[in-house]
Amino acid sequence: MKKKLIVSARDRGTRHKLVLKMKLTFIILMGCLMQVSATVYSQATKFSFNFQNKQVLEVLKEIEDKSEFRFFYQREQVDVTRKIDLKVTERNVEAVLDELFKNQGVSYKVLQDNLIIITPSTEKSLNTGFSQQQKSVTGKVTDASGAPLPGVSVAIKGTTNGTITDVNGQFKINIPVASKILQFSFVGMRTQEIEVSKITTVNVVMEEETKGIDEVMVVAYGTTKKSTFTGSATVINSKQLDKISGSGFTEALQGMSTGVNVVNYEGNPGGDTRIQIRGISSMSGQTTPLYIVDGMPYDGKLTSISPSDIESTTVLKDAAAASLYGSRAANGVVVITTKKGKGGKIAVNFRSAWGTSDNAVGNPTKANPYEQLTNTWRAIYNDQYYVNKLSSQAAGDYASSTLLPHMVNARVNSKGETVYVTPFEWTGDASNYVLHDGAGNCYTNPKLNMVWDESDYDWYGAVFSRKLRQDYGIDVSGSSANGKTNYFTSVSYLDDKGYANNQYYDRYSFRTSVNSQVNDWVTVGGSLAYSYSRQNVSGANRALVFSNTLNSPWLRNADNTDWLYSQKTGDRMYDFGENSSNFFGIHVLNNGGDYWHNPNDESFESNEAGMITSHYFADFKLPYNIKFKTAANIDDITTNYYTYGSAVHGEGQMEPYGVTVLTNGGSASRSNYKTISLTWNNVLSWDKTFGKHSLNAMLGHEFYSNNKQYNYGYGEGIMQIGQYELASTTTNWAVSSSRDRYSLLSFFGKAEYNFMNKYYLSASIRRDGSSRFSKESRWGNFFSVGTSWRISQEKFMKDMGWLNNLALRGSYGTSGNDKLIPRKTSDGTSSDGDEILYAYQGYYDSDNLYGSAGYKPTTVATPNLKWEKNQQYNVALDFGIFDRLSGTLEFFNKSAKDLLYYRTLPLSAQVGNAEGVNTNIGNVRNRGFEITLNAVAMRKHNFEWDIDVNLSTLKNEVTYLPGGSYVYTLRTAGYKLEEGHSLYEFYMAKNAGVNPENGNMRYWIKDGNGGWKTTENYSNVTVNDYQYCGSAIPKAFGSITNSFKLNGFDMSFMWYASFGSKMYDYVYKERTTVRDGVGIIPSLVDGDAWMKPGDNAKFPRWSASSFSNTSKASDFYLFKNDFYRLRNVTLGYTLPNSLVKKAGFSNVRVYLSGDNLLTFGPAAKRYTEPETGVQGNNYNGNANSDSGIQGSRRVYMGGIQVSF
Amino acid sequence: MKKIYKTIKSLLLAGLILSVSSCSDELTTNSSTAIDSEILSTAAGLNMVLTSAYHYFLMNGDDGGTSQNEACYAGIPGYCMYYDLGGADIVSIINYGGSVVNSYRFDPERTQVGGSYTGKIWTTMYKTINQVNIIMDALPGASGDEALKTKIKGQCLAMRGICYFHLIMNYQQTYAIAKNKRGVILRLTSADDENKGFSTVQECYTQIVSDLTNAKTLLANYDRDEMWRVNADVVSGELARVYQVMGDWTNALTEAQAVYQKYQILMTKAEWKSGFSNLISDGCKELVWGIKYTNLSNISSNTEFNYWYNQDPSYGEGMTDGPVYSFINFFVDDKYVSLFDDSDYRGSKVTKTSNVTDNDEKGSMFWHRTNNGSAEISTKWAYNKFKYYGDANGAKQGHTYPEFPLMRGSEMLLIMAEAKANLNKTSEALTDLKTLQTAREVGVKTTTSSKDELLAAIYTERRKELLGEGITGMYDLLRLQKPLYRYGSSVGHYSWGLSYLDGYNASDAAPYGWLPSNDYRFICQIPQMELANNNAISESDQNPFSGQ
Repeated sequence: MKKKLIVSARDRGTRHKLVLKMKLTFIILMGCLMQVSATVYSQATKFSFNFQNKQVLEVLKEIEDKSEFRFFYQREQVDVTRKIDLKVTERNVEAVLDELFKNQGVSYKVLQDNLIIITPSTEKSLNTGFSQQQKSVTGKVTDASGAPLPGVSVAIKGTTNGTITDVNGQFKINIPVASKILQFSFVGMRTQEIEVSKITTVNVVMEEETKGIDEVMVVAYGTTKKSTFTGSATVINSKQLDKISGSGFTEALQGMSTGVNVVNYEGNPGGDTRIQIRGISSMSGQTTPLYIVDGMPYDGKLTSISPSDIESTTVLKDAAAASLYGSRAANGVVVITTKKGKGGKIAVNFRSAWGTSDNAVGNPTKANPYEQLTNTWRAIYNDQYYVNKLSSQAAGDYASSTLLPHMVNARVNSKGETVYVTPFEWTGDASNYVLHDGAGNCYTNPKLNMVWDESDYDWYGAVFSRKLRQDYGIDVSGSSANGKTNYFTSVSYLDDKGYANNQYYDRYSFRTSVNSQVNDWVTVGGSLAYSYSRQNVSGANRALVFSNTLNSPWLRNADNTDWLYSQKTGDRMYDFGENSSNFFGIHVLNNGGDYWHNPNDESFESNEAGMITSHYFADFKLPYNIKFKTAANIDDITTNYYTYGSAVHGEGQMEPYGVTVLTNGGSASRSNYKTISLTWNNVLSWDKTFGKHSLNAMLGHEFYSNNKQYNYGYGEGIMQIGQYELASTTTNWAVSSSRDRYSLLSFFGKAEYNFMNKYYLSASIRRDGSSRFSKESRWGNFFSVGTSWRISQEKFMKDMGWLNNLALRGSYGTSGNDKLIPRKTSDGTSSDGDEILYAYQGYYDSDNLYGSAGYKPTTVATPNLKWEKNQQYNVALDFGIFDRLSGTLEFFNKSAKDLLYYRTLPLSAQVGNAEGVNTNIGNVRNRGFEITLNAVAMRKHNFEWDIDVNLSTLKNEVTYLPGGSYVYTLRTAGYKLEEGHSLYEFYMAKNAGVNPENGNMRYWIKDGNGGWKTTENYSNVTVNDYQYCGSAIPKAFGSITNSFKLNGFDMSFMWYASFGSKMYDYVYKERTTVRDGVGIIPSLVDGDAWMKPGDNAKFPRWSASSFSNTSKASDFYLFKNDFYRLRNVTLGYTLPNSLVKKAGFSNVRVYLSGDNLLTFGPAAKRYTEPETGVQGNNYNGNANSDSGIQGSRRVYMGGIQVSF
Repeated sequence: MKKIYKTIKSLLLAGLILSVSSCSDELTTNSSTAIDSEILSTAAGLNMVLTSAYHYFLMNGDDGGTSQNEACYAGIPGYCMYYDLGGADIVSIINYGGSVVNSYRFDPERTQVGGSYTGKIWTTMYKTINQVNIIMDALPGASGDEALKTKIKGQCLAMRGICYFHLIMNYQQTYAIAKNKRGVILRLTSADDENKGFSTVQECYTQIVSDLTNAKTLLANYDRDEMWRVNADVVSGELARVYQVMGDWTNALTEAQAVYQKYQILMTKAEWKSGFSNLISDGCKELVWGIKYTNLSNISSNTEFNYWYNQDPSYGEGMTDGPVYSFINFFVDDKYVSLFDDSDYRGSKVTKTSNVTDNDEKGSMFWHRTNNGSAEISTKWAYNKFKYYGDANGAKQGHTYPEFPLMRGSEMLLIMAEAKANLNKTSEALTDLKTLQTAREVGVKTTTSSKDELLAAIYTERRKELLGEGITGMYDLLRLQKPLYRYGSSVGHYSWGLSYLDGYNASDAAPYGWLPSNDYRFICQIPQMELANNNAISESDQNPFSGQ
């Protein structure tokens, strides 16, 4: 036995899982054999000490440092923290120990190899083992309010022996007399240790767990204590998540963690959320992290998990935290832990909430019918007077006489007259709606007689209305009488009817989990969750911009006396361009039907999603502190999409309305997606503490297989009303189906080392084989190393009582990515759905013509394709001072290399769909600072005030782009991808303001001599004149949360802010440009539009014939997008215990909450939702694609939570 | 204890063995729908790749139907619209934006390097070329019937020749003045490096003639099953066009004559006036090449038919009122209408300026949309040549499945006349011209002995006979090196059709706009993504945006 193997058995708290008996027996046996030679060294080695007020512990350590002696003792048995004065000169070890333990009831024995065992002297003989005397301790455990806490675990510290509290919070435990400390633990509560050596009854008040260094957090393949963690991760608990009334938990993550940028760009119920952890490291711009639910990769919809089933969420941000998930950790990992049974008495929680919602940024008001007439008149007049040089009289006459057809179709009324149907009674003359003075001044005819109600042309009112949102849940948890089996079941229902049109999201979810400790060494458990949702995505669309108040969403008869009604339902018919001369092609109330309930036979776009997650595990405790866990998980996910193009409503609808089938009938489609994903993992772990050294190692294996199936069917010609199935279609069928599989095989290991709870080291390695690469290059290796130093544990820091914690952490590591998602060079967009699954293979896809089989090249074979690698380092400083303020300062640098990139071929070398080659090329770097502060602002009698602040910065930069830079356009906004700039950098012409003389917009162009000049002719503006105009990626974001508690009241509010990004406001562009069919927003434009020479105007001269010349793409529509949002306000009241107890409840809380109540910033002033897709362009909503339906919603909820 | 060990060990072992052994093979996955390059090993397989190549060639693959931005670029039939919009005869309103309005206006983004439009023709043509190159490279090694292989190769060469012809016309000035200028990139095998430089215009034309000539030989015995396929007649007709552009009148005459001999029964008055939407179904005898849109090969509402503003008056004036969804964009210029004399049935017109009814309009080619409330629209001339009543026999909003001519005997006759005139065989040329004029019942037929006057008459006859079929407009202006003139008026061009041209002054009594002959604004710049990704070319190869 060498010195290094004998380690002081210093206690390591809960991590200390040694079986005392075995250990001691072993040592004692060895000791007896070798005792003889020991005494020689012990007698010969002399010590001289002069200690004042030193801990026994430190004396022992001094001896260890100066000699080869090593001490072995149990901390519960020997009080080593006792302070003493000691003065000895040239004494051997036995003399020193005699002095040290004088009158302490402690004996020691010097064994072979200078090992000294210190034991309480009550244990007279080591050879007789531990014939322990027992004593009984009883007591009661309550929470802070005095309510008894059932199910609290009561254990003898350092052992697994213990009991749990009963229904009344009471317990009785028999403990060895030598045992000094009882540990009381309960999930969500701070573990307490009570000294019981001299007492037999204890009453314990459990306190809620506060964030701190001893917080246990769920990390990759296990849990760890925050203090020992060398990586970077944020834990968000259920209390924080519950405050936000979202469809899914990702919505609620906004502002909860540094480095995690969450954008709620789809405000419709059940809408998606974009989450971006520490920047964008793939060329595609896709940032979807890996989601792990209860240890298993999760493939379902994020909204399929009821947020109320989530116990905690851990976001793993750096390599040390995430690289154990190697292959898929490039975008970070979000680890979700669902609620489990907590043991003890049956606990029932019921909650329900009701509320409503509207848009976070209010809707604007369109120009009213009078303004609409004069605006359009002005635009026509301008063309004739300023461009075509007519006299002002002639230009005015022309404008008056040609005005109405710009907005309204001519129709023939019952008298056979050609008329225009507007909110006004037909005047008999289309040219007298707007009159003028012959000098360019116009006014609406005072004789116009309004015959519609305002609501008839209130387009926003037609689409939006506040509707009910309701949310219910109940969960029951508990454990068997012996505490060995615990369970949790929950059921919840969410019904969110949204704000726009007929949108809604309904979700039913069920979850059950059971864990059972079969015997001392085997624990098995499993869970089954089922979630089912229905969603209707009808919402607001661009048609809302393309509407004006001279028209109505509903169809008016040609006599302008009444609306036209459906013969079937009596509802008003929609106007699909019969009256409006600028029908957008899509009606504002498009998809107002619903697959499950469609009495008015309207078109619909509905979907349903179902998910079953079945999970099973077995945990084995093996000898030598080895544990083995095997677990399997199957996610069965189905998503079905149902669409119907109405057979009776639409372009070309005929009388009698509502019952006459369209010429082509209706159409229907079905898309069914089914994913079965299977994960099986096996993990061996080992924990060992040798005195000051703790070691923890883990080895694992994982297999993952993802099988996707897709079926699609489409047909047209539904000629019956009320039929929505494919069976009713008669023509133009289209079908498709496919099956795809993706699999991963992984081996991984991790080791963590801790010396004296001061110095921590960790290392991990993972080897992944992915089916996305060829046999030759499919294996990738990823590793990480991390270290941390608890400075505050050092001796020299001990005296600083004000310092609770100071630690320095650092990590470096790699993670990978095997997902290849092409980024379109035409508009810079990409979509998760475009992922190339068989990237290395050369393929031909079917491309039929006239029903004959055809095949086109789709991919170029690239067998050398390999893993994309992310290298990341992270340094952080954690601190806690005055028991008041704690926080973390962190810096990270993440370099993505060998990016999986669909390198576009020269256009002339492209063929079929093979427009590029899959390759590993290009580097992107993300770096940033992150600051988290948690402050206890006040703790007064009955009053608590906490402040939590976090702030993150991000600098995203393309550092290597071998393909060369290029310019692309997305919805008229220009961008450039170039080394040295971010992935989404605006690159456009800059405007030079409106020329006061003629009202033309001016643009900066190069003058050919290295300078700049302006032009009014946009065709002179070329790519060479474009300039960088800022990035769509925010430079910083963060939140501030204030929480208060006063008696039974609790209140919190959270502000969220994002700074430094730019947005191209396409919606604003359309709302401020006078154009046929578009009703502008007067409050945005009034007083700022050019009306006559000399006007210093913001907006150029309106034009009817060349409206596009008045709204050319330039930085005019590019805005700073800093915004501040009152993300959440919650006000709660917990009823007094005395009151609720009588009713048989243990806890009753009522609350009111509001999300996104206030939004500030330049975007909100333009009625524009500031949260956009990654490219900062809000065409047709807030996403980059047309799927962005509406902006974030304000959600107001009131609810009650009851426990019994 | 021992029992535990045993259980555990066996469990562990079983676990590990199971996992490792069962999983390794699981890492190889394959697509369930795509196939690998095996398809290139048989003639039957290559024939399927050829089918897909036709899909690009004729419809720009699946993209042709995606949006109105693709309408002008939806393969060869789309270019028919594109070339003629660049002329003086079609007038487009801006009802619905997109490529047709851009093309009409000569909007800078139509040809300027930064925009997306300049790469449209480039990409469709090169995708077709690269796909037929793959086929031709694989043919010699492929198993299968030699006769089939010959047919495949002939069609591949023909398509390649036609594609290069369109490329060279759109990315460089015309052959007559640009023989030695930079041409396009000649990709002749699939093994070519992705980085490849330009050939000269002369080299490109040499290749085009060679490809088409070889194709003609290979297709000599090819009896096509569908009118959209390229057979020897189509190849001859294309060769006639190529020689016509090159000014090689002897060969142009030979080829045109060869085709005309087989397609000389010209359309009758009834056929002409019934519209061009059903030439294939009606068995039109002068149709050499044509395409049919069906529900299996639909480019939706992106056909030329959906852009003409010519639905019957009774349907109404809205886009969604008519028998098909129509963008109701195109009229013709009054100057075009006045080219026809009174007896020419191609120019029959309704002169009424109010209350035009279905009956008035149906028997005529030109008429005014007098029921339109907009004075600007009601004065323009609607043109009935391309009119379609949908697949529902005129019921509102049927599907758009029209047929479209890509080559007719009349054109061959006019090429013959032009060739003969240029070869100074004026009387023979006049005979050919009169043959057409007689068929169209032209009242005052051309009677000139002056070569220049005769040629002018032939060029005019081309406009009258072929407008909208992609071989007049910009196509003729470029090869004949003529300037474009458009005149603004209530019955003519809109200001937006003039404003990007030269010389436009709105305050003129008769405003006009013009583009000088050979101006680069007719021609596309080399697309940005070609310059960015092709190392063998550089900015110095770029066309100027404008100028001669």
